[in-house]
Order: sequence, then C-alpha cells, then structure tokens
Amino acid sequence: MTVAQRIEATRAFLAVTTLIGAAVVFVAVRGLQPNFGGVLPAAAALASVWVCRGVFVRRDVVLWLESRLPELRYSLVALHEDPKSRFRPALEARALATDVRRVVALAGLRLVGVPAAILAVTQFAVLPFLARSDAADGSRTVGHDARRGAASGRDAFSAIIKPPSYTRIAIDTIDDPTAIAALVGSEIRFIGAHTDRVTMPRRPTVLRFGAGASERLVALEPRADSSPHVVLSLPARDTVLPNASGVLTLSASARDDYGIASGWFEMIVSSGDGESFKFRDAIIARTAANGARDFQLSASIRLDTLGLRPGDIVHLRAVARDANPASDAESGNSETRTLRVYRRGESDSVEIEALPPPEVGKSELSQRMLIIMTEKLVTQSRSLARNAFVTESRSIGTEQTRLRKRVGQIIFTRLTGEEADEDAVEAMADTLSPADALLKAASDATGAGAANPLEPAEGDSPVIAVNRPLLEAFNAMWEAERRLGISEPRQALPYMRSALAAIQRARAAERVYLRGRPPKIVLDIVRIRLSGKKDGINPGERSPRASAVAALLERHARFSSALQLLANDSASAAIDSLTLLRVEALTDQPAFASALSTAVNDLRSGRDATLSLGAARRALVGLPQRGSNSRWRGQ
Amino acid sequence: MNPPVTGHQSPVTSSEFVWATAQYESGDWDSAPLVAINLTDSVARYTSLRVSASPVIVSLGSSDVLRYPFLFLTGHLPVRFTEAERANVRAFVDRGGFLFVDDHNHDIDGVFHKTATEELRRTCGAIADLPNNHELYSTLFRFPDGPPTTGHELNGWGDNLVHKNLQAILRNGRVVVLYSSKDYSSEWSYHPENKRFQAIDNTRFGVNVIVYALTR
Repeated sequence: MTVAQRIEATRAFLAVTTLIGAAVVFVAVRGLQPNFGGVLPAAAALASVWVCRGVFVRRDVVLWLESRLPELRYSLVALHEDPKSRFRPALEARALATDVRRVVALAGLRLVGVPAAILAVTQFAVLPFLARSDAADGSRTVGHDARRGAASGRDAFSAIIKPPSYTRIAIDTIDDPTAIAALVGSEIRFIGAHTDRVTMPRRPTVLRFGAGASERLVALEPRADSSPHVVLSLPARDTVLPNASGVLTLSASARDDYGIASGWFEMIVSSGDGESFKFRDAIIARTAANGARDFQLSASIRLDTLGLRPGDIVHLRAVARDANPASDAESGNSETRTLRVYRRGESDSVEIEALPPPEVGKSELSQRMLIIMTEKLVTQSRSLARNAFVTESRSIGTEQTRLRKRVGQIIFTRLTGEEADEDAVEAMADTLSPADALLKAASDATGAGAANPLEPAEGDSPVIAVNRPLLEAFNAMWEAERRLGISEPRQALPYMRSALAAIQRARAAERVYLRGRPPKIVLDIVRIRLSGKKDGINPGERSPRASAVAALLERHARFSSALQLLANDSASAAIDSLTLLRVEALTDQPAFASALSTAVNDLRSGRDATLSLGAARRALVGLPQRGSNSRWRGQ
Repeated sequence: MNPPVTGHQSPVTSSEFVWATAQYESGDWDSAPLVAINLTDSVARYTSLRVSASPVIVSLGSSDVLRYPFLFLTGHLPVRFTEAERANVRAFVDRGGFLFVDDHNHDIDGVFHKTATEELRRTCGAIADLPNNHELYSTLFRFPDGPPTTGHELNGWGDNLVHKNLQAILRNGRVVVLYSSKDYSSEWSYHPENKRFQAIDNTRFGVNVIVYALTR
C-alpha cells in the first residue's frame, strides 16, 4: 500500500464512522422527541456531521494524523504538499514505517461510541426519568407541547400515536386521552402517570389504567385503511365482437387515501358453454405506483393473440393495491367488463325434453359411492357384529358386481357397436379371466386378435386404446368383488380405488349436453300439497333467534343508568359508563357512538352536556313518536 | 304455471314463499333453469308453507331483491358484482335475507368458486365451513352426515372431490349466506314429475334450506 492509498483508506474509514455516528444521533434524538417527526433528529445528525466535517477533507486528515503521531515528523504533510519532492523516497519510508492503525481505530470507536452512549443514556436514563417526573409533578415533560393542554394533576398522561410507516403520516400526541382514533396497526405509547405500549386493534376496545377510584378508561377506535377506488374507463361497456381481431385499449384510474403500491389489469377468458367451460386467466400491465394517491393505468391487447373462438368471453377488470402490508388488506377492483365473441347461430334454440332418470331397479351405485361405503364398513368393523359385517360386505360386493357388469356392457357395446348380451359376457367371464374374456369378445367382434390383455400394443385400434382403461377397471372390479364376497373389505379397497382411477382415465371422452329452452312446467300446488313421502321427516329443535329489540332495550337501559349516575353527582363513573357504551356501539350504531363522543367530551371539559346527551338518546331510540293510544292529540 | 317472471312483475303476495333466482350481470345466472320449479314443487310436497307456483327471476342490481327472503344464485362463469349489485346483496343480508349460492362448476379451482367467494367475502364478510351438525341439517329432514353428496361429486366431475362441508356466512349465529361447492344446481335441475323415479328425493336438502331460511 502506498502512502496515498493509506491516507485515502484512513479518510474513508473516518468518514463512514462519522456517518454511522450521525445515524445513531438521529435515532437517539428521535426517541427523545418523537412528536417532532424527523426534523429535529435530522438537524442533530447534520450537526454531528458538521462537527466532524474534517474527516471528508484529505488535508485535514493528514494534519490530524501528524498531530496524533509525532513520529511522522511531517513526512505526510510534506508529501501531501509536494508530491514530487526530491526527498520523496525518504519521506515515504518514514511515513510507511509509522503504524497509524491504533490511532485510526480509536478515532473510529470514538466517532461511533459517543453517539451510541448518548442513545443508551436517552433510552435507559432520560426517558424513564422524564416519565417518572411526569407522574410526580403532573406535567408532561416529554414532547414539544409538554406544558400545554389540559393534562394536570398526578394522573396526567399522554398518548403518542405512530401510524403505520406506509402511510407516511406524522406522529401525533394526545394529552389526557379518553378516546384515540387511529389507523389499525398504529403504535400507541402511553407516557406519564400510566405507561404502556399497544398496537391499534381491528375492533374497538377499551384500555383500563390504574384501579379503583383512579381508574382511567381509554377507548381505542380503529380506523380501517380503505382499499383503492378503481374505475375502468376503457372498455366503457360490455361488448359483443363479430370476430376476435384488432387492438383493445384498456384504461383505468385508481385513487387511495394513503397511496397506491401497484395496479394491473386482470383478464379471464372463458370458453365453452352448457356444462363444460374452460378458463384462462392473465395479469396485464402490472405497474408500480410508488405510493401515488392518484394513479392512471393503461395497456392494450391484440385480440388476435388471445386465440379467441366464437362464443368465448373475455372478462376484464382493473385492480389496484395500496401499500398496506397486512396480509388481509383488500385490493381495490373496478367493475368487470365482458367482451363476447359472436357465435354464428347462437340465437337458435332447440327445445329438448329432458329424459327421465333410469329406473331405480336398473341404476347402479357409482364406484366412488361403493368406496365410501366400503371405507365406512372398514371403520365400523370392530363395532359391528360378525354377521352384520359379512352381510354388509356381501351387499357391497353385489353392488360391485352390478357395476362391473355395466362396465362390461359398455366396453362390449363400444367395441362392437351392438348391445351387449349380459349372459354372454358372464358366460365368458366364468371361463376366462375377466379382461381376457372381454378382449376375446372384442376380438371376436372386431376380428382383431386379443394378444396381450392390458399391455399397450402397437397398432391397437383407437377403439381398443380408448377402452383399455375400462378393461383395467373391469379387472380391478372383479378382484374387489371377490374380496368383498369373502368379507375382506379392507383388501378390496385398493382394487376399488384402481377401478375408480381407471374409470377417471376413461372419461376423457367428450361430455355432450343438449341444452335448450326449459319446458314450461305447470305446478298444481293443491294437488301436490303434502304428497311427498314422509320418511325421514324428523325436525330438530328450533333454536330461538336472538331478539334485536332486546339488545336495543339493554343498551337503552345502560344509557339511562349512566344518566342516573350523572344525576347522583358521579360524573366520573358516568363518563366511564358512556365511554364503554360508545365503544360497543361503534360497530353497529355509529351515529349513537358519535353522539356519545360529543357528550363525553362535554362532560370531561365541564361543559353543559344536556344537548349532546339528548342527541345521543335520539340517535339511540329515534325521535319521539305519538303513540296510537296516546290521549294527546296536539296539533 | 307461467314461466318464471322477473321480480318487478311478480304478482305474488308477501305471505307466500316465492323462489327467487338471482340474476347478475357477469355470468350465466340461468344455468340451472329447472331448479326453481323443482324446489318449489318440493316445498309444496313436504311442507305446509304457503308457496307461490311462480318462481321469479330478480336482478341483483334492483332493489326488488329486498322483496324476497330467499335468493338462489348459481352459474359457471365469473361472479363479479356491480356496485349496485354489491350494495343490494349487502342490504339483503343485513335485513335478514338468505342467499344460497351454488357452484355449478363443482370445482374449487374454477373461476366461479374463486370469484364468488371473493365477492361474498368482500360484500358480506368472512366465509367459513359450516359444521355438519348445524341446525340446517335437521330443520325438517335429518342429514346426520352433513350435506348430501351429489351425483356430480360421486362421478368425479369438476374438481373430483366429495366436499365434506358447505360454507356459510353467519350473522348473530344465523346463516345468511350458504355456499355450496357440491353442484346442487345440476342435481336438482330436472322436471319435478321425475321425482317419482327416485327412491329418495334428492331435493329434500333443498327443502331444509328453504325452511331454515324462512323460520330461523
């Protein structure tokens, strides 16, 4: 390292430690004086940098080193002032021979250590002392307006409210608080006679400080951060497009109370009709808003790139999210616009009468239902009597047999194009393994040899390939049926599940639904009235419904009790009662809560609260109304 | 009976139960056209409630929704309420109405489920699983295992799941929004006369829902 490099390194080190020290000063002063925001701490930090400004100047650093290390004998200064001196080799040798590390390290330690000590003293000595003195002399000594306001006496205390940082709202202080309205998540620090630290909850609540006669109540009234208001201006309305081509312009605006973090467009494309729909979704033009309160969002889409087909519907909306980091913070959404691609012939309709369901005797339980029944039987195996267990297992096995035969018929029909002969399938199954029997039937029907039953073979006809999963299902059902027949439902389950999986693979076939205008149905209520089967009607007990009137009456009684306390000269107890009532009413009777707030403030400040209490009563029970049985008929 | 009429044309008196199908702008609200008449038929078959033979279709964007205590909402496509629809649904629920929402897709990964649950949460509050011993399952008929399974569940359509629970939004302990992923829309959308082919009428649970909505 040359002499010049050593000087530069020293200067950089001292500069960095000075800046760190300034940051610590900023934190220390901010803790001491929170209600000034960042102005005073920033000034203190700048002052500390100004005091040490020499560390940023090369010449000052050289002189400082010379003053600290006499053994340098002005070699650094000489080199700094005349780098081309003819004595340069000797000067450099002396400068390099001197160890500056200890001096520089000590200086760095001092530059950081002193501010750190100030921070420690403020946190652990000054602030607690100020809090104690607050309690002792009844005056708030922390904060700019320490000696201002109504706080006085031994119970005086203050609340310092720090809103969530994303809102960029300044810290606020309330003296002698009875109610604090702030954003959810705000940090609230109480200092003075009562010290505490809380975070503004999501629901209104009451804090209690002290006990007995000196108990103080503070109502916490959370204010929710509203989600951004988003308006989609383009496309302006829902549209039917003759064909999916051209450029679609999107435009939206968003506004938020504290600032928007980002915005984007959401698109869902739905394809299909009837009972069969497919969906694609996409996010378009996600843009950072960097905390702007008003935000414009725009984008364009080339419709031909979306691969839209006739009948497809594009659902579009704009979305904006504010900077609230809470996981459950709602984003703001615009209304949704839909663009539909016209389908030729969509105005046509065909009226089709629905087919009745199959006869009960011919319906089969589904494989999934059989699995559920078997699983239930397995779980009940210990509690059921042996005979009942065997009977139920065989019963499920019988249902499994019926389903297997139905699958066999389907396979046969799909292979041959003819209705299956149930007896023929059964007869073949008696002599061959089930899959082999069916493949043999298929082979006989189609003339193609049934070589390897379930292994895919090259040259399989599409019909065989499509039916292969059903053949697997048939085979698995056969084995499950055998296990159920010998009362081994647990062992049957894997085969039943294999059968279900195979059926699911087989249902790749397209589902076709015929849909038309529903038939006009005339109900004859008198004829069908109570004609349903009564089996299973067994109504449970009806739980009483909570009476809204009762809750209102209870609230009214409490309000009257609080007024009675006032009449008995127990103003403090009345204020506490009204405060509690107010917090409870915040969610469901905001008008009543607001009127109570005015009344409580009047009472606390010693003003006449007659009018405000009257307003609260009207908000609670409404305006007086003339009763029908009243004798008074005044005009 | 005449075909379903729109809400403002409803000729019914306020003392009769009228099945009201919710019409919303963003999707195929009419995807299960026979549910209304089928459930109306069932209410008449199993209860002595006064019931109108004419179900109605009522636009969520209209304040007419407040004339009916029970609304049925279904579809396959995204559910995104307009401001007016959202305000009316909120007022409907606040005033004690009962909204029954069924996912005709039977797919919890589908857009109906995602968008409908988002809208309901935003409009009416948090939605949660309804316990299978809830009063809803014993209002008239007993369903000790909770909501009855549907053919679409057992056959593996949609999300290929048998849903164990329905979901609901409650106010003061009462269900005000009932949400189903079980596809009762498909299960119940058939001509009421075809009930005679069934060993057990599969609309009985629907009757329970209506009786609950009207009496609890």
